[in-house]
Amino acid sequence: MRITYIALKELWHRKLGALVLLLGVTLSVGLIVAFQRVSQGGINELRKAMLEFGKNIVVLPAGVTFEQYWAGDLGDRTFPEEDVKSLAEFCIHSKPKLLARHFQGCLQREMIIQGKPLILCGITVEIDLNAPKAVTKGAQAPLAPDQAELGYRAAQALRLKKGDPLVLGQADRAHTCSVVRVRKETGTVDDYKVFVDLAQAQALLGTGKVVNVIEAVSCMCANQFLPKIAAKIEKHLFSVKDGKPRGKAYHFQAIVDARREARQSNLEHMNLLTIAAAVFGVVIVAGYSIWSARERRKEMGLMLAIAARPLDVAALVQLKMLLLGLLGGVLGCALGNAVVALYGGSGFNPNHPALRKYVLNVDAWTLYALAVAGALVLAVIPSLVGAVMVSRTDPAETLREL
Amino acid sequence: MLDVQQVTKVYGRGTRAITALDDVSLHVNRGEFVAIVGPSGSGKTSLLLTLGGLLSPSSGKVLIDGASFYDVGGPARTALRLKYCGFMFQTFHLIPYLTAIENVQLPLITTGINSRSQRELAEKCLKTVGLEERLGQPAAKLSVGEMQRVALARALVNHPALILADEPTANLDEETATKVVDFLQTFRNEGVAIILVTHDTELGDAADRVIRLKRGKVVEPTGPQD
Repeated sequence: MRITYIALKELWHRKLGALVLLLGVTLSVGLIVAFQRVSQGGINELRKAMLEFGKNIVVLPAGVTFEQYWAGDLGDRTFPEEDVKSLAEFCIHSKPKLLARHFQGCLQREMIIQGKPLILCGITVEIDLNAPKAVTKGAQAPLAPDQAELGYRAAQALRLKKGDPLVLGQADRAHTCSVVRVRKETGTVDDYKVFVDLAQAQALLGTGKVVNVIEAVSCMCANQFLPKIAAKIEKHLFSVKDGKPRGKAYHFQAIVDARREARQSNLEHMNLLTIAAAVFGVVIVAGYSIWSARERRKEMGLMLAIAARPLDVAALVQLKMLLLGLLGGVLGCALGNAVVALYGGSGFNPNHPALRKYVLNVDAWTLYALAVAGALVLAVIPSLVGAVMVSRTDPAETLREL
Repeated sequence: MLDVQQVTKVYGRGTRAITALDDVSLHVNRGEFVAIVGPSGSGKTSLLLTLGGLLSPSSGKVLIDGASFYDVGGPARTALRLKYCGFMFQTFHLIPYLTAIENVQLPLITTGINSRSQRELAEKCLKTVGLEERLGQPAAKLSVGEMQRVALARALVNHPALILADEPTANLDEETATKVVDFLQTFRNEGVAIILVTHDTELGDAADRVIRLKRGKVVEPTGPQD
């Protein structure tokens, strides 16, 4: 017979107490796992939202204001189409390398389409510089000459849906294409746009090979570097040709800041809740440990009197706690995951199919391993109080008690 | 074998000090059955615990085979206790969730003896006290007499030279008490020294020698009987 065997028998003998402790550890670890996963899910949801938002830097021709861009009215000012590629090449060869991953040229102009005042937006095929495929979201998918995508409001105004024909232009310039997608509502001017291939838009508008907006996508990772990227782009593309700047680069720093602040706030709240859950666990374990030490006073006194050393009786307590900690850790991981999966919704569930491709920093197994290790620490450290109490039991005193 | 030299035990300090043992000296040989008798509060249990290395005296020495119990550290004292002493208590002090045989194995768990040998030794001791049919019975389901016999087997399992028994028959009926005393006498005949604390004078008659305690002092001769 070994100490381990006695620990297991005692565990079974005092099932109710052990269950309460197990419940405490499980709840504590479950809450910690849930909070951390929610936190991760929140970050990923933000990342997804920002990537889907797409453009982070918008380059506009000189004389066009940002307000005009938001209103969709860019007038007649344009850039040569080759500026898009030139800008992309500059960014990738720049030292230090600029972080904008995709560039897209657009030619957008107000136009009456099937009797409705909307914005025609011709878009180039995205220029993707060495970016991994997994992070190309937010960039515009290429459109064939006979394809069109509709913004949410544009589709409503035109009463069109996917697969419907759409007639662009009038008389000899009329061009029929098919609606391949209706975009989700964004709350921006994009909702009023009809997206077509750039060459098609250039032909319809008779502008030649020009664009009037260059958008850089996926600079969000740069955070505080975004203004610097914008300045560098501006310097490169719009430095003097005829003594006047050709345009201006606008960046969405406010959105980046909001994202960063939201992320920090989210993390802080979740970390606070994690600490609260850990404290809850510590209180439960320490409380149980003290109660158990008092309950087992005579038993431990006897053990000390007839055979065991103080270290042996302390080990008897700690073995039990170790076992319960391990079990509580595993159950807690399952509980935390289940709670997040069942009640967290898609926004907070990192396992949700819609989020999987955006999950860049959730390593669930690492989290589980940490949670189980944490559960062991949670079970063993606070229970040292009880272990010390039993190891200091005075056998003479307990044996005199009837 | 056991030498007690001028042992005094005082509980508390100052005006609250209570002298439980007052300059007690005695000697016990191997194979001797000694009964310590006296009224409640006379210091019987304090003396027994002191003899067993469980209660440090305020002054004096307890020597067992020449080794001083209280001049060594805790682990060494535990080892001495395990080597020389077996204990029996009035309330048996069995661990209720362990079976009879597991309770008997308890003193062996830190000895390094493997589980099979532990079990064989425990089984043998339980057979000696007539409990071979109750090996796997949880302690909590044993009768009072069986519990005390399990406690006796536990006291024997490490082959002690000395058994210290604190009122071992106090909770037993007459028949069972007689059985327990018979067992003790058998072990005495095998060379084990028995020190039994009791307030039952009749039980004292079974002993080779009776030591009477009164207010912590020995009031009867303490030398071995010839």
